[in-house]
Amino acid sequence: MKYDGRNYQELDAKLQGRCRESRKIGNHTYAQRRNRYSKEGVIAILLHNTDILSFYPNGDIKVNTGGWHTVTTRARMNDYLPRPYTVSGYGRGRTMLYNGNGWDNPLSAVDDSVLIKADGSTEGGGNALDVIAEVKREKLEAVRPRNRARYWINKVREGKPSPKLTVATILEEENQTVRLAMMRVFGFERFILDSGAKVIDQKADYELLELPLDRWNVLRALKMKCSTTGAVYINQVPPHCHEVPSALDWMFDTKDYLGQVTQQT
Amino acid sequence: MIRQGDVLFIPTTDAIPEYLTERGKNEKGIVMEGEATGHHHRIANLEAAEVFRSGWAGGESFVRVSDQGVSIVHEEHAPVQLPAGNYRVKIAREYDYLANAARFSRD
Repeated sequence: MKYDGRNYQELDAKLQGRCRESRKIGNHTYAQRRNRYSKEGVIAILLHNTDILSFYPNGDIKVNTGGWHTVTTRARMNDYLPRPYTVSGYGRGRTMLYNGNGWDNPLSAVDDSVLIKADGSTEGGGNALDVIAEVKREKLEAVRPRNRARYWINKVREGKPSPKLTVATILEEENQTVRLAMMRVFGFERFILDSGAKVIDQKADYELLELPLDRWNVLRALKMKCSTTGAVYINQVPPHCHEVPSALDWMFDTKDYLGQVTQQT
Repeated sequence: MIRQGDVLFIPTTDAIPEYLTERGKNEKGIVMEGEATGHHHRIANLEAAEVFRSGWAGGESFVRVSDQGVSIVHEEHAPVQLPAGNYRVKIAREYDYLANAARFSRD
């Protein structure tokens, strides 16, 4: 049931006779006269309860999403907007108004409503360039950590060292998964020793080290020194290990490691 | 308990499971293989002890030491002496923060 009126005069011509006040023009869509007793004489395209387009006798057109940035809203708008004007979705929950100058060159952002004046100028819409920049920034922010994670996890799988990687670079990385992958590539033992992890418990030749991962999570590792060779070993333990004995018991799945061990090298 | 690097020997009075004594004897006396470095934890004298290992990671392992005792050797650690008896072998585990899971240490 497509209605072919694309300006005020055409719509006015269609709203005659018994359909003078309202005429159904599509699913849940009506052309209706507004301000019947005033001189304004606006004709609106009503979708559900929203006047998505309002045609003024002077040639102005008000485009209004009413906050409903949906496919149907945009489809109905495109059905009844006079050419060259069209609307299209842009990013998530945004609608842009175009005037035929290409998809890269929108006329205005339809935040809620925008008025297209008879002379072709617009009033009340958002700045299209700001919206484009914002959407671009959002997309980049969403994609960047994923790309970085993919890159560094592949490096972990390859098992090749990355000479450019430094402790400072790893600590600067804001994404936790990416940072952990970078630590693995750098060498976990080397990273723990070089990054100045805090000693939270110490017993005999053992030290329990802690490194904050973010505001809530910490990474804990047990530093062990071989009594015979003097070599240092680092073993990652889960964050619930708060002391050296509990870390050792977790490592070897024992009850009282320090109390029972008689010989260790 | 006696520890050499990542390997812990716990004396036990339990008998070594039959499935290990029948099929799990390690003829080379290797208690734990060094996957990364190639350095093994192994018994110094094959006549003084027997090593029984299940074939899968995390499976049970035992060492049966005869009356004369045995020493366990490794390239990076000093030897440890195991007196006579049966020992359950445990491998140290570590927590992998990237995978958010525990795994057995690898030499």
